[in-house]
Amino acid sequence: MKIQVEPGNETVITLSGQLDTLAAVDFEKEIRTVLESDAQAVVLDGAGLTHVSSAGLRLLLTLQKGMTAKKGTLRLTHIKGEIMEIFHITGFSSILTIE
Amino acid sequence: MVNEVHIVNDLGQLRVLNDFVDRTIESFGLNQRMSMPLFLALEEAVVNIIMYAYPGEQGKDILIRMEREEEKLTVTLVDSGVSFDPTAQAEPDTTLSLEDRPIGGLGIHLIKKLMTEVYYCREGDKNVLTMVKELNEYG
Repeated sequence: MKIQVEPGNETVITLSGQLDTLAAVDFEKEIRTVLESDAQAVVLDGAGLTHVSSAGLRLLLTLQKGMTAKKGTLRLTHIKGEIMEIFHITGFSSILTIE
Repeated sequence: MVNEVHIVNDLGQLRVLNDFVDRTIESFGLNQRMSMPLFLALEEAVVNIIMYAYPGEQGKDILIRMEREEEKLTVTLVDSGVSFDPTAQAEPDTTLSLEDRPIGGLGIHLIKKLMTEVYYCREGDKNVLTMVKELNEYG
């Protein structure tokens, strides 16, 4: 799993590989940093994302809740069909903003 | 066709699991599209066992067995940990709004949705979780 963060007023997080239980540890640290920053808009680019487990979903929910709490926004882009299917099964497709 | 692997109750073993799934997909001649649902369901089930079956104990065995019979793939997980039926857990409400959604509790729900059938039984001192996937849709 690769995580790249480009900080800014619109912070871009690029994920590639598997957002599974092992990767979740690193992703959680990045999320905490982003939530503590001044970023009001976060874009999560999932073009290279191949797999999301429930540990990954938990963190996406944490990120969404954190951004909402600070009156910011989170957008997910380039999410693959297989992962969209997971979002539909779990009801995440109605909680997250997916473009 | 049958493939088996033994792992111990350590999250680092998920890499072994990943390789095992990849190898099995190849040797069973399964469609690559099976990879995501299969690995996801297995990860959820195995993480559950690693985290909760053997409290305070290390190096404990978990057996993962996959069998293909025509268009049916059967995945069986066996551990000798504390008795636990993951299929008996309450279903999360996936229609709740952002504010009301609890963080967590999705694992077994995902397994049930990704696989065709999931059942649990206690055999002696072992937990046996069986997950079946009909392969028709994947070829």
